[in-house]
Amino acid sequence: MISGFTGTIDIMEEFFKDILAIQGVKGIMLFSLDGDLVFRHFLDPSRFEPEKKDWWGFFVYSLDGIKEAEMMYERDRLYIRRAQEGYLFVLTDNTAPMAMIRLQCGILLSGDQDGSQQKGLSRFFRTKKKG
Amino acid sequence: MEDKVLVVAHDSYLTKVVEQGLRKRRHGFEVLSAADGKTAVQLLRKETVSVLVSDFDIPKARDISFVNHIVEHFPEVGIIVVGGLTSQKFKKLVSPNGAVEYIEKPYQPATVVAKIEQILDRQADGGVLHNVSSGMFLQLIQMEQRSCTIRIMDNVTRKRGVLFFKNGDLLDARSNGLEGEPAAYEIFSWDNVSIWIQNSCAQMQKKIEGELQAVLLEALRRKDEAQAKKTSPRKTEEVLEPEEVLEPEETDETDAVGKIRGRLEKESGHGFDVIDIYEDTSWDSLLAQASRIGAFFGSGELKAAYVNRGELNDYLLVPEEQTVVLVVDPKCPRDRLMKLLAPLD
Repeated sequence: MISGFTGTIDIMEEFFKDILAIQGVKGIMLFSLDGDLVFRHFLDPSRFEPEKKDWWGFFVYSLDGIKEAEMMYERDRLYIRRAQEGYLFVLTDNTAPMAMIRLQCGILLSGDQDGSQQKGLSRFFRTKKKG
Repeated sequence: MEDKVLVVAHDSYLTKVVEQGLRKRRHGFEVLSAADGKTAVQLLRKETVSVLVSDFDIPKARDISFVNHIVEHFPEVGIIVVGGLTSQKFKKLVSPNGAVEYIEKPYQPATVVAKIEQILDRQADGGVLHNVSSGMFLQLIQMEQRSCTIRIMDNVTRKRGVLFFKNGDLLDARSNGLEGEPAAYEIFSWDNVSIWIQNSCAQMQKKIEGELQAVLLEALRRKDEAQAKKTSPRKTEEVLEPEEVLEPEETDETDAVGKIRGRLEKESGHGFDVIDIYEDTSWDSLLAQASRIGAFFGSGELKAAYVNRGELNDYLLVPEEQTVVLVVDPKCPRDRLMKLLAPLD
Protein backbone atom coordinates (compact mmCIF):
# COMPACT_ATOMS: atom_id res chain seq x y z
CA MET A 1 0.00 0.00 0.00
CA ILE A 2 2.90 2.35 -0.64
CA SER A 3 1.26 5.09 -2.64
CA GLY A 4 1.95 8.60 -3.82
CA PHE A 5 5.54 7.67 -4.50
CA THR A 6 7.15 9.25 -7.55
CA GLY A 7 10.79 8.28 -7.23
CA THR A 8 12.50 4.94 -7.51
CA ILE A 9 13.53 3.05 -4.38
CA ASP A 10 17.19 3.53 -5.34
CA ILE A 11 16.87 7.31 -5.47
CA MET A 12 15.10 7.34 -2.12
CA GLU A 13 17.72 5.14 -0.49
CA GLU A 14 20.44 7.37 -1.90
CA PHE A 15 18.62 10.41 -0.56
CA PHE A 16 18.41 8.95 2.96
CA LYS A 17 21.78 7.18 2.96
CA ASP A 18 23.43 9.68 5.34
CA ILE A 19 20.74 9.11 7.94
CA LEU A 20 20.66 5.35 7.42
CA ALA A 21 24.44 5.26 7.90
CA ILE A 22 24.28 6.78 11.39
CA GLN A 23 25.01 4.29 14.11
CA GLY A 24 21.86 2.97 15.78
CA VAL A 25 19.43 3.92 13.00
CA LYS A 26 17.08 1.01 12.29
CA GLY A 27 14.95 2.44 9.53
CA ILE A 28 13.08 5.29 7.91
CA MET A 29 9.48 5.82 6.89
CA LEU A 30 8.01 8.69 4.91
CA PHE A 31 4.29 9.45 5.12
CA SER A 32 2.19 11.90 3.13
CA LEU A 33 0.04 14.36 5.07
CA ASP A 34 -2.94 12.14 4.20
CA GLY A 35 -1.30 9.31 6.10
CA ASP A 36 -0.21 7.23 3.09
CA LEU A 37 3.11 5.44 3.46
CA VAL A 38 5.27 6.81 0.65
CA PHE A 39 8.56 5.11 1.40
CA ARG A 40 10.08 2.83 3.98
CA HIS A 41 13.50 1.31 4.42
CA PHE A 42 14.54 -0.85 7.35
CA LEU A 43 17.97 -2.31 7.86
CA ASP A 44 16.18 -5.56 8.75
CA PRO A 45 13.38 -5.45 6.16
CA SER A 46 11.90 -8.82 7.07
CA ARG A 47 11.11 -7.63 10.60
CA PHE A 48 8.75 -4.76 9.97
CA GLU A 49 5.92 -4.40 7.49
CA PRO A 50 4.27 -1.11 8.45
CA GLU A 51 2.14 -1.08 5.29
CA LYS A 52 0.13 -3.93 6.80
CA LYS A 53 -1.15 -1.67 9.57
CA ASP A 54 -4.00 0.70 8.85
CA TRP A 55 -3.60 2.99 11.84
CA TRP A 56 -0.63 5.03 10.61
CA GLY A 57 -2.97 7.42 8.83
CA PHE A 58 -4.70 8.47 12.00
CA PHE A 59 -1.44 8.83 13.84
CA VAL A 60 -0.10 11.10 11.09
CA TYR A 61 -3.35 13.02 11.22
CA SER A 62 -2.94 13.45 14.99
CA LEU A 63 0.47 15.01 14.42
CA ASP A 64 -1.22 18.01 12.85
CA GLY A 65 0.52 21.16 14.05
CA ILE A 66 3.58 19.28 15.31
CA LYS A 67 6.85 20.21 13.62
CA GLU A 68 9.07 17.75 15.38
CA ALA A 69 8.52 14.97 17.91
CA GLU A 70 10.64 12.40 19.60
CA MET A 71 9.24 9.30 21.26
CA MET A 72 11.49 7.58 23.76
CA TYR A 73 10.76 3.90 24.39
CA GLU A 74 12.45 1.36 26.62
CA ARG A 75 14.69 0.15 23.81
CA ASP A 76 14.21 2.52 20.87
CA ARG A 77 13.51 6.05 19.82
CA LEU A 78 11.26 7.34 17.10
CA TYR A 79 12.18 10.75 15.70
CA ILE A 80 9.45 12.46 13.68
CA ARG A 81 10.05 15.50 11.54
CA ARG A 82 7.47 17.45 9.58
CA ALA A 83 8.33 18.11 5.93
CA GLN A 84 6.41 20.36 3.60
CA GLU A 85 4.27 17.52 2.22
CA GLY A 86 4.58 14.80 4.80
CA TYR A 87 6.26 13.40 7.86
CA LEU A 88 9.63 11.68 8.09
CA PHE A 89 9.96 8.96 10.76
CA VAL A 90 13.39 7.73 11.84
CA LEU A 91 13.51 4.65 14.09
CA THR A 92 16.68 4.23 16.11
CA ASP A 93 17.91 2.27 19.07
CA ASN A 94 18.75 4.07 22.30
CA THR A 95 22.44 4.38 21.46
CA ALA A 96 21.89 6.53 18.36
CA PRO A 97 23.27 10.08 18.47
CA MET A 98 19.99 11.97 18.33
CA ALA A 99 21.60 15.36 17.84
CA MET A 100 23.26 14.04 14.67
CA ILE A 101 19.97 12.62 13.41
CA ARG A 102 18.16 15.90 14.03
CA LEU A 103 20.90 17.72 12.17
CA GLN A 104 20.83 15.34 9.19
CA CYS A 105 17.05 15.61 8.96
CA GLY A 106 17.39 19.38 9.10
CA ILE A 107 19.84 19.28 6.19
CA LEU A 108 17.59 17.00 4.14
CA LEU A 109 14.54 19.12 4.74
CA SER A 110 16.27 22.41 4.06
CA GLY A 111 15.53 21.82 0.36
CA ASP A 112 11.83 21.91 1.21
CA GLN A 113 12.14 25.13 3.12
CA ASP A 114 13.90 27.07 0.37
CA GLY A 115 11.09 26.07 -2.02
CA SER A 116 13.32 24.04 -4.29
CA GLN A 117 11.22 21.08 -5.41
CA GLN A 118 14.27 19.34 -6.80
CA LYS A 119 16.27 19.41 -3.59
CA GLY A 120 13.96 18.53 -0.71
CA LEU A 121 11.54 15.73 0.04
CA SER A 122 8.79 17.42 -2.01
CA ARG A 123 10.10 15.82 -5.18
CA PHE A 124 9.03 12.42 -3.88
CA PHE A 125 5.38 13.35 -3.55
CA ARG A 126 2.92 13.48 -6.39
CA THR A 127 1.86 17.03 -7.10
CA LYS A 128 -1.77 17.77 -7.91
CA LYS A 129 -2.27 19.00 -11.46
CA LYS A 130 -4.17 22.24 -11.78
CA GLY A 131 -7.28 22.45 -13.93
CA MET B 1 -31.16 10.43 28.76
CA GLU B 2 -30.15 13.15 26.37
CA ASP B 3 -28.51 11.24 23.53
CA LYS B 4 -25.61 12.93 21.81
CA VAL B 5 -25.10 12.45 18.10
CA LEU B 6 -21.81 13.62 16.64
CA VAL B 7 -21.70 14.49 12.94
CA VAL B 8 -18.29 14.59 11.26
CA ALA B 9 -18.48 16.39 7.94
CA HIS B 10 -16.72 19.17 6.08
CA ASP B 11 -19.94 21.13 5.63
CA SER B 12 -23.07 21.65 7.70
CA TYR B 13 -25.55 19.85 5.40
CA LEU B 14 -25.44 16.47 7.13
CA THR B 15 -25.61 18.13 10.57
CA LYS B 16 -28.80 19.93 9.51
CA VAL B 17 -30.27 16.71 8.10
CA VAL B 18 -29.65 14.90 11.38
CA GLU B 19 -30.81 17.77 13.57
CA GLN B 20 -34.04 18.45 11.68
CA GLY B 21 -34.82 14.78 11.17
CA LEU B 22 -34.34 13.82 14.80
CA ARG B 23 -36.27 16.82 16.09
CA LYS B 24 -39.40 15.57 14.30
CA ARG B 25 -39.16 12.10 15.79
CA ARG B 26 -37.41 12.24 19.12
CA HIS B 27 -37.10 14.26 22.30
CA GLY B 28 -33.95 14.69 24.34
CA PHE B 29 -31.01 14.67 22.00
CA GLU B 30 -28.13 16.94 21.14
CA VAL B 31 -26.30 17.12 17.83
CA LEU B 32 -22.60 17.94 17.98
CA SER B 33 -20.51 18.59 14.90
CA ALA B 34 -16.86 18.33 13.96
CA ALA B 35 -15.23 19.32 10.69
CA ASP B 36 -12.51 16.68 10.88
CA GLY B 37 -11.46 13.49 12.61
CA LYS B 38 -9.09 15.11 15.04
CA THR B 39 -11.76 17.48 16.39
CA ALA B 40 -14.17 14.54 16.54
CA VAL B 41 -11.78 12.52 18.72
CA GLN B 42 -11.27 15.51 21.01
CA LEU B 43 -15.04 15.81 21.39
CA LEU B 44 -15.43 12.07 22.00
CA ARG B 45 -12.94 12.30 24.84
CA LYS B 46 -14.96 15.07 26.51
CA GLU B 47 -18.54 14.01 25.76
CA THR B 48 -20.34 10.70 26.06
CA VAL B 49 -21.57 10.33 22.50
CA SER B 50 -24.13 7.69 21.50
CA VAL B 51 -23.85 7.79 17.71
CA LEU B 52 -21.26 9.16 15.29
CA VAL B 53 -22.24 9.92 11.70
CA SER B 54 -19.33 10.52 9.35
CA ASP B 55 -19.43 11.74 5.79
CA PHE B 56 -16.63 10.65 3.45
CA ASP B 57 -16.89 11.47 -0.24
CA ILE B 58 -13.67 9.76 -1.23
CA PRO B 59 -12.23 8.08 1.84
CA LYS B 60 -8.50 8.52 2.34
CA ALA B 61 -6.18 6.40 4.44
CA ARG B 62 -6.69 8.75 7.37
CA ASP B 63 -10.49 8.38 7.15
CA ILE B 64 -10.20 4.61 7.29
CA SER B 65 -7.86 4.73 10.24
CA PHE B 66 -10.10 7.36 11.89
CA VAL B 67 -13.07 4.98 11.80
CA ASN B 68 -10.92 2.08 13.01
CA HIS B 69 -9.64 4.31 15.81
CA ILE B 70 -13.21 5.05 16.94
CA VAL B 71 -14.17 1.36 16.79
CA GLU B 72 -11.15 0.47 18.89
CA HIS B 73 -11.10 3.31 21.41
CA PHE B 74 -14.79 4.24 21.70
CA PRO B 75 -16.60 0.91 21.35
CA GLU B 76 -19.72 2.32 23.00
CA VAL B 77 -20.31 4.69 20.08
CA GLY B 78 -22.53 3.54 17.22
CA ILE B 79 -20.98 4.49 13.88
CA ILE B 80 -22.66 5.37 10.62
CA VAL B 81 -20.56 6.09 7.53
CA VAL B 82 -22.24 8.03 4.76
CA GLY B 83 -20.18 7.59 1.63
CA GLY B 84 -20.03 7.77 -2.14
CA LEU B 85 -19.24 4.92 -4.47
CA THR B 86 -16.29 3.98 -2.33
CA SER B 87 -18.24 2.98 0.73
CA GLN B 88 -18.11 -0.69 -0.35
CA LYS B 89 -14.33 -0.38 -0.34
CA PHE B 90 -14.64 1.25 3.06
CA LYS B 91 -16.77 -1.65 4.26
CA LYS B 92 -13.97 -4.08 3.48
CA LEU B 93 -11.28 -1.99 5.09
CA VAL B 94 -12.86 -1.15 8.41
CA SER B 95 -14.48 -3.02 11.19
CA PRO B 96 -14.79 -6.66 10.16
CA ASN B 97 -17.09 -7.31 13.14
CA GLY B 98 -19.88 -5.21 11.66
CA ALA B 99 -19.67 -2.36 14.15
CA VAL B 100 -20.10 0.21 11.37
CA GLU B 101 -23.31 0.92 9.48
CA TYR B 102 -23.15 2.24 5.89
CA ILE B 103 -25.38 4.51 3.89
CA GLU B 104 -24.66 4.92 0.19
CA LYS B 105 -24.87 8.31 -1.46
CA PRO B 106 -27.19 9.66 -2.72
CA TYR B 107 -29.31 9.09 0.36
CA GLN B 108 -32.69 10.13 1.70
CA PRO B 109 -32.40 12.24 4.90
CA ALA B 110 -34.98 9.92 6.48
CA THR B 111 -32.65 6.95 5.95
CA VAL B 112 -29.92 8.57 8.06
CA VAL B 113 -32.36 9.47 10.83
CA ALA B 114 -33.92 5.99 10.83
CA LYS B 115 -30.47 4.40 11.11
CA ILE B 116 -29.58 6.67 14.06
CA GLU B 117 -32.83 5.72 15.77
CA GLN B 118 -32.15 2.01 15.19
CA ILE B 119 -28.77 2.38 16.91
CA LEU B 120 -30.21 4.41 19.79
CA ASP B 121 -32.94 1.81 20.32
CA ARG B 122 -30.39 -1.00 20.21
CA GLN B 123 -28.35 0.78 22.89
CA ALA B 124 -31.24 0.27 25.32
CA ASP B 125 -32.54 -3.08 24.06
CA GLY B 126 -31.99 -4.67 27.49
CA GLY B 127 -34.20 -2.18 29.26
CA VAL B 128 -34.03 1.10 31.15
CA LEU B 129 -33.99 1.66 34.91
CA HIS B 130 -34.43 4.98 36.66
CA ASN B 131 -33.45 6.13 40.15
CA VAL B 132 -31.42 3.12 41.20
CA SER B 133 -28.17 2.70 43.10
CA SER B 134 -25.35 1.81 40.70
CA GLY B 135 -23.43 -0.48 43.08
CA MET B 136 -26.33 -2.81 43.86
CA PHE B 137 -27.42 -3.12 40.26
CA LEU B 138 -23.93 -3.77 38.91
CA GLN B 139 -23.33 -6.53 41.43
CA LEU B 140 -26.47 -8.21 40.08
CA ILE B 141 -24.97 -8.09 36.59
CA GLN B 142 -21.86 -9.76 37.93
CA MET B 143 -23.90 -12.44 39.69
CA GLU B 144 -25.92 -13.16 36.56
CA GLN B 145 -22.67 -13.26 34.53
CA ARG B 146 -24.18 -11.04 31.88
CA SER B 147 -22.45 -9.58 28.83
CA CYS B 148 -23.73 -6.09 28.25
CA THR B 149 -22.94 -2.43 27.78
CA ILE B 150 -24.35 -0.23 30.52
CA ARG B 151 -24.92 3.45 29.78
CA ILE B 152 -25.39 5.27 33.02
CA MET B 153 -26.31 8.82 34.04
CA ASP B 154 -25.92 10.48 37.41
CA ASN B 155 -29.33 11.99 38.09
CA VAL B 156 -27.79 14.75 40.25
CA THR B 157 -25.00 16.10 38.03
CA ARG B 158 -26.31 14.71 34.66
CA LYS B 159 -22.82 13.29 34.06
CA ARG B 160 -22.76 10.17 31.92
CA GLY B 161 -20.62 7.10 31.65
CA VAL B 162 -20.38 3.66 30.08
CA LEU B 163 -19.46 0.27 31.58
CA PHE B 164 -18.60 -2.86 29.64
CA PHE B 165 -19.33 -6.31 31.09
CA LYS B 166 -18.35 -9.67 29.59
CA ASN B 167 -19.83 -12.66 31.39
CA GLY B 168 -20.25 -10.54 34.50
CA ASP B 169 -16.64 -9.35 34.41
CA LEU B 170 -16.13 -5.57 34.35
CA LEU B 171 -13.80 -4.99 31.35
CA ASP B 172 -13.70 -1.22 30.96
CA ALA B 173 -15.39 2.07 31.80
CA ARG B 174 -15.62 5.54 30.22
CA SER B 175 -16.77 8.76 31.78
CA ASN B 176 -16.10 12.41 31.01
CA GLY B 177 -12.70 11.89 29.39
CA LEU B 178 -11.66 9.17 31.87
CA GLU B 179 -11.05 5.56 30.94
CA GLY B 180 -10.58 2.31 32.81
CA GLU B 181 -10.41 2.30 36.59
CA PRO B 182 -10.52 6.11 37.09
CA ALA B 183 -13.77 6.20 35.09
CA ALA B 184 -15.20 3.28 37.09
CA TYR B 185 -14.36 5.06 40.36
CA GLU B 186 -16.21 8.14 39.19
CA ILE B 187 -19.27 6.20 38.01
CA PHE B 188 -19.46 4.12 41.19
CA SER B 189 -19.47 7.28 43.28
CA TRP B 190 -22.88 8.23 41.87
CA ASP B 191 -25.72 7.43 44.28
CA ASN B 192 -28.79 7.94 42.17
CA VAL B 193 -28.52 6.89 38.56
CA SER B 194 -30.50 6.00 35.47
CA ILE B 195 -29.31 2.97 33.54
CA TRP B 196 -29.71 1.92 29.90
CA ILE B 197 -28.78 -1.69 29.17
CA GLN B 198 -27.54 -2.92 25.80
CA ASN B 199 -27.51 -6.71 25.51
CA SER B 200 -24.10 -6.88 23.85
CA CYS B 201 -20.57 -5.81 24.64
CA ALA B 202 -18.38 -4.47 21.85
CA GLN B 203 -15.37 -4.08 24.13
CA MET B 204 -13.05 -7.08 23.90
CA GLN B 205 -10.04 -6.06 25.98
CA LYS B 206 -9.99 -6.11 29.76
CA LYS B 207 -8.72 -2.72 30.87
CA ILE B 208 -9.82 -2.88 34.51
CA GLU B 209 -7.65 -5.21 36.52
CA GLY B 210 -9.51 -5.67 39.79
CA GLU B 211 -12.74 -7.53 40.54
CA LEU B 212 -15.94 -5.49 40.50
CA GLN B 213 -16.24 -5.76 44.28
CA ALA B 214 -12.72 -4.36 44.78
CA VAL B 215 -13.35 -1.49 42.35
CA LEU B 216 -16.62 -0.66 44.10
CA LEU B 217 -14.93 -0.60 47.50
CA GLU B 218 -12.09 1.57 46.22
CA ALA B 219 -14.64 3.96 44.68
CA LEU B 220 -16.42 4.24 48.04
CA ARG B 221 -13.14 4.83 49.85
CA ARG B 222 -12.23 7.63 47.43
CA LYS B 223 -15.68 9.14 47.74
CA ASP B 224 -15.45 9.15 51.53
CA GLU B 225 -11.99 10.67 51.34
CA ALA B 226 -13.18 13.43 49.00
CA GLN B 227 -16.17 14.17 51.24
CA ALA B 228 -13.94 14.27 54.34
CA LYS B 229 -11.71 16.82 52.61
CA LYS B 230 -14.71 18.95 51.73
CA THR B 231 -16.21 18.89 55.21
CA SER B 232 -13.01 19.19 57.27
CA PRO B 233 -13.15 22.49 59.18
CA ARG B 234 -10.91 25.14 57.63
CA LYS B 235 -8.76 27.17 59.91
CA THR B 236 -10.22 30.60 60.40
CA GLU B 237 -8.08 33.69 60.27
CA GLU B 238 -8.70 34.36 63.98
CA VAL B 239 -7.01 31.18 65.09
CA LEU B 240 -4.13 31.38 62.68
CA GLU B 241 -0.78 32.54 63.91
CA PRO B 242 0.64 35.39 61.77
CA GLU B 243 3.34 33.05 60.41
CA GLU B 244 0.69 30.56 59.34
CA VAL B 245 -1.19 33.17 57.36
CA LEU B 246 1.96 33.86 55.35
CA GLU B 247 2.53 30.16 54.63
CA PRO B 248 1.97 29.38 50.95
CA GLU B 249 -1.31 27.59 50.29
CA GLU B 250 -1.12 23.88 49.72
CA THR B 251 -1.38 23.27 45.97
CA ASP B 252 -3.57 20.67 44.26
CA GLU B 253 -0.45 19.14 42.77
CA THR B 254 -0.97 15.46 42.01
CA ASP B 255 1.41 12.67 42.98
CA ALA B 256 2.68 12.30 39.42
CA VAL B 257 3.46 16.01 39.03
CA GLY B 258 5.04 16.16 42.49
CA LYS B 259 7.17 13.10 41.75
CA ILE B 260 8.49 14.62 38.51
CA ARG B 261 9.10 18.01 40.09
CA GLY B 262 10.98 16.30 42.92
CA ARG B 263 13.13 14.32 40.47
CA LEU B 264 14.02 17.48 38.54
CA GLU B 265 14.93 19.43 41.66
CA LYS B 266 16.98 16.58 43.08
CA GLU B 267 18.97 16.24 39.88
CA SER B 268 19.57 19.84 38.98
CA GLY B 269 18.52 21.98 41.89
CA HIS B 270 16.86 24.46 39.56
CA GLY B 271 14.57 22.51 37.25
CA PHE B 272 16.28 22.52 33.81
CA ASP B 273 14.44 25.47 32.21
CA VAL B 274 11.09 23.85 32.97
CA ILE B 275 8.49 26.59 32.79
CA ASP B 276 5.44 24.69 33.99
CA ILE B 277 4.32 21.18 34.92
CA TYR B 278 0.73 20.01 34.84
CA GLU B 279 -1.52 17.11 33.89
CA ASP B 280 -3.34 17.30 30.57
CA THR B 281 -5.49 14.50 29.15
CA SER B 282 -5.63 16.10 25.70
CA TRP B 283 -2.28 14.46 24.89
CA ASP B 284 -3.45 10.98 25.95
CA SER B 285 -4.64 10.00 22.49
CA LEU B 286 -1.33 10.92 20.81
CA LEU B 287 0.63 9.01 23.44
CA ALA B 288 -1.70 6.00 23.18
CA GLN B 289 -1.02 5.88 19.46
CA ALA B 290 2.72 6.33 20.01
CA SER B 291 2.59 3.40 22.46
CA ARG B 292 0.95 1.26 19.80
CA ILE B 293 3.79 2.13 17.40
CA GLY B 294 6.30 1.14 20.08
CA ALA B 295 4.54 -2.20 20.49
CA PHE B 296 4.58 -2.72 16.72
CA PHE B 297 8.35 -2.18 16.55
CA GLY B 298 8.99 -4.19 19.72
CA SER B 299 10.51 -1.04 21.24
CA GLY B 300 9.03 -1.55 24.70
CA GLU B 301 7.06 0.84 26.82
CA LEU B 302 6.79 4.51 25.87
CA LYS B 303 8.76 6.43 28.48
CA ALA B 304 8.58 10.04 27.32
CA ALA B 305 7.88 12.18 24.28
CA TYR B 306 9.19 15.55 23.16
CA VAL B 307 6.98 17.76 21.03
CA ASN B 308 7.92 20.90 19.13
CA ARG B 309 4.97 22.74 17.60
CA GLY B 310 6.99 25.72 16.47
CA GLU B 311 5.65 27.75 19.39
CA LEU B 312 7.54 29.79 21.93
CA ASN B 313 7.88 26.72 24.17
CA ASP B 314 8.16 22.99 23.57
CA TYR B 315 6.48 20.18 25.49
CA LEU B 316 7.86 17.14 27.20
CA LEU B 317 5.21 14.51 27.83
CA VAL B 318 5.43 11.77 30.42
CA PRO B 319 2.82 8.99 30.22
CA GLU B 320 1.28 8.56 33.66
CA GLU B 321 -2.30 7.79 34.62
CA GLN B 322 -2.96 11.19 33.04
CA THR B 323 -0.26 12.62 30.78
CA VAL B 324 2.10 14.92 32.67
CA VAL B 325 3.18 17.86 30.53
CA LEU B 326 6.37 19.81 31.11
CA VAL B 327 6.50 23.13 29.30
CA VAL B 328 10.15 23.70 28.42
CA ASP B 329 12.37 26.20 26.72
CA PRO B 330 13.32 24.94 23.22
CA LYS B 331 16.96 25.42 24.23
CA CYS B 332 16.65 23.07 27.20
CA PRO B 333 18.97 20.02 27.37
CA ARG B 334 16.40 17.77 25.70
CA ASP B 335 18.31 14.49 25.84
CA ARG B 336 19.30 14.91 29.48
CA LEU B 337 15.78 15.82 30.48
CA MET B 338 14.24 12.87 28.64
CA LYS B 339 16.71 10.45 30.16
CA LEU B 340 16.11 11.90 33.59
CA LEU B 341 12.33 11.66 33.31
CA ALA B 342 12.36 8.25 31.69
CA PRO B 343 15.10 6.29 33.40
CA LEU B 344 15.64 3.10 31.44
CA ASP B 345 15.62 -0.15 33.36
